[in-house]
This record gives sequence, C-alpha cells and structure tokens, in this order.
Amino acid sequence: MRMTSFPRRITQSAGPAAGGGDTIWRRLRSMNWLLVSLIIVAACIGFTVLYSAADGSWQPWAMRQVIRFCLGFALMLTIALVDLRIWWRLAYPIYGIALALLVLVEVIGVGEGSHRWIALGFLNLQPSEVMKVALVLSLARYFNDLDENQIDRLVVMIPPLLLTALPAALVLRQPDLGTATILVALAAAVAFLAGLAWWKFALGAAAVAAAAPITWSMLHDYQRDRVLTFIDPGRDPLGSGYHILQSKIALGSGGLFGKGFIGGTQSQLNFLPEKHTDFIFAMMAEEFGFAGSIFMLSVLVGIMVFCFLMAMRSTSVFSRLIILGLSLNFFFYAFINMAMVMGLMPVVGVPLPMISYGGTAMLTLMIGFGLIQSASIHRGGVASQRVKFG
Amino acid sequence: MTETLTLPGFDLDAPASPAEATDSKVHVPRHQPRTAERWRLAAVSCGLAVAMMAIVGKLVLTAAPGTLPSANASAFAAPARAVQVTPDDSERSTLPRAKIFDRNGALLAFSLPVHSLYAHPSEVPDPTATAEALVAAFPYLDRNQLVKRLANERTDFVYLARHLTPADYFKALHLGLPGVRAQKEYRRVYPQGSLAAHVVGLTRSDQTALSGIEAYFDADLVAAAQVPMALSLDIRVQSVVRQELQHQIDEYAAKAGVGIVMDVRTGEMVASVSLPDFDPNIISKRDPNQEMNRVSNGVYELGSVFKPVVAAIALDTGVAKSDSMFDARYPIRIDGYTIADFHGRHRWLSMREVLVHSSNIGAARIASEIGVDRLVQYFGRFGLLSAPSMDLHEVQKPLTPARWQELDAMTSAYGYSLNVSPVQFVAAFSSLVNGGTLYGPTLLAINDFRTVQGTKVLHEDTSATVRSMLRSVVTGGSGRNANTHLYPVGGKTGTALKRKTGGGNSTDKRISSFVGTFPIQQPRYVVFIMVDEPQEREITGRYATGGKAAAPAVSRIVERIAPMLGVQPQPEILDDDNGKNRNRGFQAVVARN
Repeated sequence: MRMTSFPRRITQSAGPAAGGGDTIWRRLRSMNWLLVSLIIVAACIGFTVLYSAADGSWQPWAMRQVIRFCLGFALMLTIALVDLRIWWRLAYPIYGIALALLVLVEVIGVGEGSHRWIALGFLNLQPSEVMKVALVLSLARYFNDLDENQIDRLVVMIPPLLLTALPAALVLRQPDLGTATILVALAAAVAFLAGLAWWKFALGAAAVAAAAPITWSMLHDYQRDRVLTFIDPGRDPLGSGYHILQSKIALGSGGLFGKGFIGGTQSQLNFLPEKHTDFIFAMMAEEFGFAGSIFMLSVLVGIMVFCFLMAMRSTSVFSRLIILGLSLNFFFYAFINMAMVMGLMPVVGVPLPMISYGGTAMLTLMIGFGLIQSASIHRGGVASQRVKFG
Repeated sequence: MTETLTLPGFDLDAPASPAEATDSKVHVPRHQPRTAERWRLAAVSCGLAVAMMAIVGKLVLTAAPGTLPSANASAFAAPARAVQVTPDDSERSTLPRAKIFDRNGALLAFSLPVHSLYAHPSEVPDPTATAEALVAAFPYLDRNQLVKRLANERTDFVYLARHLTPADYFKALHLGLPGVRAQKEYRRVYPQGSLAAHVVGLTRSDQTALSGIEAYFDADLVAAAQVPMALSLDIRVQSVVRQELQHQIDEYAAKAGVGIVMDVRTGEMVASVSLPDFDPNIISKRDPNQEMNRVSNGVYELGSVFKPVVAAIALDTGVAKSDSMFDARYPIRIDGYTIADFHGRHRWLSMREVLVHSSNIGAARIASEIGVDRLVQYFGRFGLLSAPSMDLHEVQKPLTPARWQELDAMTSAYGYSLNVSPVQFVAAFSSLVNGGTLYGPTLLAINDFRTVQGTKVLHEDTSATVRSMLRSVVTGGSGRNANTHLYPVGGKTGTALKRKTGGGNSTDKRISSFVGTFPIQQPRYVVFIMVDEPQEREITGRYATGGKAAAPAVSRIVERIAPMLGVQPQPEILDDDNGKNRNRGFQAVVARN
C-alpha cells in the first residue's frame, strides 16, 4: 500500500510491502506479549469475580464476559497488525464519525433520564466511549503533524481546543459529567505530553477553578446530590449514600485474605449494589481481601508500566502520544472507579477496566490496547524488525 | 541532522526510501524522546504514582485488618468466627424486652422465655452419637449439620437448637447427653401478627431490633425496668382499616395502599396501615416491598387532596373567601405545560366550587393569587417541607422543587411537584379541620389530650370555612361515595398520575386517595386512604379515581370505627350551597357540643 502523503514526523520507512521482511509473523513477534498476558490476567480476575457474583455460576455474566473478551482480543490483534500510518491517516475521519455518533445519540439515544446509548441490537453503543479513543487519535495526529517550532504559538492551540470542546460539550449535554471530565483530562494530558508550555496549563487550571461556582449553579440536582453525598455519605444513608456505605462495609469486611470465593456476605446477600459492574472492586476486596486487591492493583499498574516503557521507546510523536493517551484512558477508568468505590470520589458510574461486566468499555479498551500495540510495533515508523526489545 | 529539517529525537532524517531503511541499520537511529518530553513523562508518571498511592493508602485504611476503629467492623474482619455466635454476642437474647401494648391494653409484642441447646465441642465425647440422639428426639434437626458443628474444634461454642418449647426443653434434659447444655433465652413474639407490623417493628432471632417502635425505643425496651409501652394505635380500628384497605386493593388489583386514622386533637395515630405487610414472627423470608412502611417512608405526589390545603392558605391570608370567583374557563398554559381540568366546567368557579368539582385550573389560579413565597411559607408551617418528626426511624423527607417557580406553586395547588409522606400530609390536614392547630404525628398513647402542645398555624374561622367546603365536596361533589348516614363526613378526593421515569406523567398509573374527617361539625378523627396504582376494571366501573377507589372505603371505615371510638351519631345537617348559612349552622352545632 502506497501512502499518498506522509506526515513530516512519521518517517518514511519500511511499510508492509517494503523489502518483503515485514511479515505478519514478524509483527506478531514484535508485539509486547508481556502486556498481552497482563491483559489476559486482568480479564481472568474479572471472569472469576463475575462467576462469584452470580453465586457460582457462568450465567448470566461470566460466560458473556468471556465471549466479549475473546471477540475483543481478536479485534485487538487485528488492530495491532494494521500499519500505524493507516491509523494516522484515519485519525480525523474516525474523529468525525465519533462526533457524528455523539450528535446522533442526541436524536435517537436511549437511556433513562439521559441519552447516552445508541441501541444497535446486539450492543448498546456508547458514543462517548468511542470518542475517548477518537480524541486521543486526532490529537496525537495533530501534535505529530505540528512543526516543533510552532508549538509555542498561541494559534496552534485553537484546533486542539476545538477538537476537545466539541465532544465535551455534547457529552455534557447528555448529561454525563464524568465522561466529559475524562475527555478534557485526556486532552490536557496529551497536550501536556506533546510539549505545550507549562503556563498554559496553569492558566487553564485557574480558569477551571474560577468557573467552579458557575458550574455548580448549572449542575443538575442529582449531580449536586452526588457531590454533597461524596462529602458526607451519612447525609442520606438510604439514598445516594447507600452505595458508598455498603461498598465501604464490603471493603472493610474482607480483611487480609478475604471471606473466600463466593463467600462475601455483603455481595452475596445483595447489600452491595451494582456488584457486577461499577462496584465489582468492593466485591473482590470482600472475597479476596487486602491481598487480592493488591494483586489486582499490581496487574493494573503493571499494564501502565509496560505502556509507559513502550512510549519511552517510540520515536514518533504520533505513536508515543497514542500509547500515552490510550493508556491514560485506561488509568482514568481504573483510578476513578476505585476512588469512587472507596469513597475518595463521588459516584460517577465508571466501570473497573477489564474486570467490570459490560460491553462497550471492554470493546473500547481492547481497541485501545490494539492501537497501543500497533503504535509499539510501528514505533517511529521504523520497520519493526529492526528494533528488538521485550 | 540539520536544524532546519530535523529536531532532536525524531527520525526526520530517516532514509528517504524504504529500501534504504531496510538496507542500512546505521541510518535508522533509535531516537528517544527529547529530554524536556522525558521530564514531562516523568511528571505524569509521578502524578499517576501519587494517585495509585492514594488508592493503596485508602485501601489499607478500609480493608486491612486491625485498623478498623469500630467493634462492629472488626467483627466483620474476622470471618472465621463470624459464623458462630458466641455467648457474649448473644447477650441480648438472654434478656427480656419490655412489652408493647396498644392504647387499650391489647398485647402487641412480648418476650417469651425459651431455651436453646448449645455445646462446647471440646466437652462432647462422641459428636456422631450425640447428633443422632438429638435428631431422634427432634426430627426437624439436620444430622449432618449437628455432627459438623459438634466436631468443630475451631470454636468452643455452638448452638444446636434454638428456642425450644418447655416440653422439648425437658425432653432434651432427659436425654442426658454429656456436653450438651441449655441456656435460657427470650424470643420476641407478636401476637397480632402482621396487623401492626410496620409500627411495632421487627427483631432478629437474638432480639436485636431492626425497625419500627422496637428499633426507635430500643434503649427503653431493653432497660432493666421493663416499663411496658402503650402505643397510640387502637388495634380494633387498625384491623378495620386494614380490612377495608385490603378490600380496595383486591377490588382494584392495586400494588399497595396506605390507611391512616389520626386523632385531630393530639396527632395520635389511631391506625397506621401500610399494605402489603409482613408477619414479624416469621423473619426467614424478608421482602423489602412488604417491609416498606409507606405511611412514613414513602413520599408521593398526592394529587387533589392538596386543594383544601391551598384553599385554607388562601382563606387565611385573606386572598380569597369561599365565594371568591376564579376563572376556570380555559386551560392555563405556562412554561410549556398545560394545566387542564379532568371534568372541565368551562366557567368561572367560586373557591367552594373549585373544591367541589376538583378544578385544577381554579386551584392553580388560587395558588397564583397567593404567590409563591407565601405558599411555600405556609407549606413549611404545615411541616410539609421537612421530614416529619415521628417515633420511627423509617421516615422519609419530602421531595420538593429545588427552586420554587410559578409553575411549581400552581401544580402544587392540585398536589403535584411536592412529594410528601402520607403521615405528614394527614398531620397537616388535621390542622385544617381542628381549628388550626398542628400536632406532630405520634405513635405513643397520650393520656390527656389537653396536655398536648400544638402549633397554631391557621385562624379558627379559616378552619370552619374549610370544614364547610369539605362537607360540600362530600354532599355534592367528587367525594359523594365517602358519605355515611349517621356520621357526617367532610373530605376531598385525590387522583394523581404517577410521574414516568424519564419525565412526563403516566396515563394509567395513579395514586388514588381520599382524606376525610368526621364528625364534620367538630372533627375528632381524620381518615386517609391511599391506593397505589388501582387498575380500571370492568367490575369496578370505568374509573379508578380517588372518588371510586378510596372514598367508599372511608365511608365504610367511618361507619365501623365511630361506635368503637365513642363518637355519637349526628343527625344529618341541612346542606345547601350557601356558605354563610352553613357556617352559622356549624357554629350552632359546635356550641351545642
């Protein structure tokens, strides 16, 4: 495949056809298989907890999750094997599609009280999740294509601001404050890692602080309720505070080694709400204790560490930002979910990545890992077979 | 690498053609990100590490054993022991709880002395033989489970059988099994079963209180003094209300229901029924839907039963008199909503007629005349904006609009936008008819009604006019089905469409209610019946409105409970539509009494 035009900072290099050396086999070999195995371990933790959540049954959650993971895994491999330059070329079109989906969800979206999903029959697609990947892709491409000398000019800030503000505003309208915040945070992180000046972020943070009172007045009652309940869960122990209190009881009752597989009383007796989705971490902590939680945390941290190492090794801005942006997306999921379950943050309805039951999150995460692998295989656009590591 | 073409760290000078790239490794340098960007990466990593530390730190605080301050939580942290109850933990079961009576001395709850068999496993020589002997005597015991418990060396205390009858206890003693001991315990028994279950409450098998009066007055009930507690309930009235409410629920295939009888002079709850209910003697099967006390723990948009409240405010503030006219010709359009009437009269209506024909438009106009601020101020005075202070933990605070707008005020006039619990509504309604004094609802019997302190919320003559208008509703309006021959009733119907999840009102899910008071000349009791989601069915006629689904029950209840409560039959007073005459008539009757 011949590229019509190459970005300045993705180097011309051996594409799939070049020299005949770049076979699929070679690409597979240069994938980061340690990362892949950590992903599998994380998914297996998920299957175990879901099996327990259904009181020791593959139905209704664990089996479906296994099937979803297998599909996602295949998708990840496929995406990983596609040349990164194709993703570079598709970055803006993908962003366009994601944006269109966000607009579409306003029109034909389903959901109680808020319009977040598009019903596709087999799957309820959440365009805001797709947008996270698309936003990282498009920002990575923008900063990649940008001349290094221009990065300090103010004009170059406008396109990334627009790229971020449009979807964030649409998501905020749904209304989904949590996802909108994540989108902005992702964009800020990518821009920061791309080398935007420090003071611009300081300015942005100051602006956010100044806007906080105005935002508060625009929040929905239920959103304010969540923030207030976060500050004092005892305020409404049967209402919004119920989740957190039950979750804390579950966390606290696990002890060092937990109550054992299928032995958690908080979760098995259904005191713990959403035990198979958002609050799965509390259930895991109850059944496998402090040790189990630390093991799971290590796996998640391990995934992050591998991703950052891969980013350090990549030489093109595009691949580096892809890896960092998408792994940060993963991290945000994990951090926000755990912080929420432990009462460090308000309840915002974010799943625990790879472990919570749910289709869209699994799909976007696996797509993300596929892109990370692709960026790693084709790091810097240099022919993959030349660089040995891992 | 020249500065114009390349920047450090990037392969801008990479080979121009793929062929070159594969040919020479030298020309494809492995550049690392430049230093500044490495710093940034490091900074982000540090941020992530700090975030992770926060998670781990919090996890250590909540999940690691030994760091939990409360005794309760540390019991959770020791899972191996939590399965067996140790004697220390079960101290509650060995102490009797005080008795609970209704206002006439009918027993509602007491602690029955029973015996429980236990063993110290180390003292049992032969677990299998012991278990078999026990099973032979008490066939309902499970042999394998007994063997497992008796052979358990990790613990020094196991229960073998709980709560034996005296006969079984002697049988067990005569078995003479070594190591098997008996312990005197108490078991909470509720002779009235489900009749007053929500009020009296629920205890676990170890007598730990879970809900109701049992939980609210737990400290008093376990006190050594064992002072019996008299509730305000009259179990006979409670029984009538429950029966009639159940009848309405069955007839209309409804989901749930609430029935309240309140003494308007004291705020005592003479009956407090929430259906479906549960038998507190059987706690193995628990259903939250049954345990929900809808009287105080459910909040509802009650519909048109709110109209008298708004009418009273209008009278009390001098905004309107009972014959003041309001334009009910056309639906009101405001903020994209349309306020319309169910049976529109399409003419100007007096305030009395607004109530009699239950005109939403008229009520909205009255509320609009009163004004948002005064309306909200009065709602607050009636106690409708905060959780009712009651002798129960199961109390829900009302759902109010975050910011009261004109629209909220108008819709609240016919019972929307303000979700209140039935008990606080009934307390407020009592103050409308008892001469204007608000008493907090109570579940404890009051010996002398003159000792009760209330809050004056309305003028005396406001209350008289409201009573007269409520009587008109029953004699000539939507509340006809609530009338009785011997005990003149005044009241108001209410039919509220439930709000759909996601906005808008449902068309077939409703709350149908009737609030009435008798005898209307000088009210003693308020009777409130609410039916949750009555269905429109062939046999019940077309409608499942408050006038059909709730009012007939109020009529039957009044006829049955008035004799029990010692209310004299009253001769039917002359009813006409002239408010002035009626008021004079009322005063005459009141004076006679």
